[in-house]
Amino acid sequence: MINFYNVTKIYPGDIKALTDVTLQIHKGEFVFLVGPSGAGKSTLTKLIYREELPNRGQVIFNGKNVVRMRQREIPYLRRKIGMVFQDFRLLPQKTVFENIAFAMEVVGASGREIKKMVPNVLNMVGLANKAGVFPDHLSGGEQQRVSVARAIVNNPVLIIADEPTGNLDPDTSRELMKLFSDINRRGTTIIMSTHAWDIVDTMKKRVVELDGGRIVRDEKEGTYRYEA
Amino acid sequence: MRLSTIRYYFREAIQSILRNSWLSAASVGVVAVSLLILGSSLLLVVNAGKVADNLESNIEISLFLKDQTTTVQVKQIEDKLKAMPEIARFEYVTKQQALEEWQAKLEDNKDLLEGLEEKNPLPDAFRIKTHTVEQVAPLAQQLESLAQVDQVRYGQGTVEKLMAFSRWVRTAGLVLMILLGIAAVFLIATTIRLSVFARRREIGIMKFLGATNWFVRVPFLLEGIFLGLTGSLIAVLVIYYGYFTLIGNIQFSLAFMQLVSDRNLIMLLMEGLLLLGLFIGATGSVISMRKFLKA
Repeated sequence: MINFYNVTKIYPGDIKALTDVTLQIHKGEFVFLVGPSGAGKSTLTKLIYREELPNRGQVIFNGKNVVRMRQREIPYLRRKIGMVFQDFRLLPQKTVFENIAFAMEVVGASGREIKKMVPNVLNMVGLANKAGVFPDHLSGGEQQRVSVARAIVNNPVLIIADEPTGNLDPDTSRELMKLFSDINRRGTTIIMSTHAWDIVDTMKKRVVELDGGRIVRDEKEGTYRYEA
Repeated sequence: MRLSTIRYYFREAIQSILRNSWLSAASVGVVAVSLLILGSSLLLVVNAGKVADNLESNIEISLFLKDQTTTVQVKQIEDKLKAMPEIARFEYVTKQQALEEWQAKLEDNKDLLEGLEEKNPLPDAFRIKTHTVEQVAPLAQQLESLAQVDQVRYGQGTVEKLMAFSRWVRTAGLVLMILLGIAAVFLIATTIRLSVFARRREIGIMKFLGATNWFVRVPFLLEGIFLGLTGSLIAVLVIYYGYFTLIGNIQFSLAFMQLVSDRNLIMLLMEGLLLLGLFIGATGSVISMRKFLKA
């Protein structure tokens, strides 16, 4: 579903983020991106949703060449991708319900669809009773679950999670990972970049390790560190 | 487009205006003032034009004949006048007729003219009307060369002065309006820029959620249009009520001043102002969005 062909990304100032990366991710996979800060994990995900363009190489997503995509097609690409960030990126002046509804408003959903879908996903992430609460009154774990609910509400085929447990304690992280596993089991592909080695080790999913902009390891049921 | 989307656009625009209420008020104020000036000077121009029209239609050439002009000579001049294509019509006024007209005009002060009947100092004259005002001056010159003509008179200068004044009002109003219009556009642009800045987080979120550029832009466009339209509406209301109050007062105190009171014409002017306000607002938004919402 996602193909990187010899992708090189160099930021202005000759900063090499990715060098000659070739990678294939299939539909329904759960992939951990690991590696030190600055290894190119974020750049790799940004290339999928066309936040960045590569200097060389091609990126194919869902049968479409993302690199050659026209400007006005980008929003429709992003609607197929749910995004979860370390800092949640919720709107503080909107309630939990409104934050999720916002994702649907943006893609032009009707009021009826919104009223139907939002309680559904809130149920799924276990926050049905927090619909009217503002994000600032929630714990970090709850906020991240709201952002997951927002990411899945438009039925994406892919979820990109950028260090989603970075601001969460271990217990909350485990709950979140259970949620991701459930979503993955229903067929949604998940790419998650992380530094949380314990999570990676217990999940036993595919691990792609980056270092210095190159893929140095790609294991099917891998662990956080390369085991000799 | 869905109703919920339209509702979303308006909600966002109004929220944004309320959030930057002071700057919004300032933008509205500048639009109002600039359009107020434009509207007033337009009304002034329209009225000056009307006065000029009145004067023009009253302009005639007086051709005074020398004393002792014989009837035959008068007849000759008459024939020549008939042959001139510029002349729309003319009449011959004898000195007796002229004197009677004066007496009629002066009415109560008729005694001023007493004794003139014996030795009437007024000359015989032709009164000539041309087809257009432009023909007056050249024709007057031509007429001076006729035999037995003593003097040729017309309202030299008056019309020219009035036209010059109305031109001046128009130019000054236009220059002032353009300057204030630019100021209004940029103030609105600043207001929108501020609300874009205040919502940059939100815009970032909208983008990764897959919002189209138009979805992001429309609320800001609406905000600018709303500011421009409110400003022009204020200007229109002030001008409209101010002007008709003025007309009402003037009709009593200065009966000879006839202001343009054609409501259709005034309404057309007001509609134009509203449209201009809308345009100013939209331009302001587009300017700041071009800078901030690239791609």
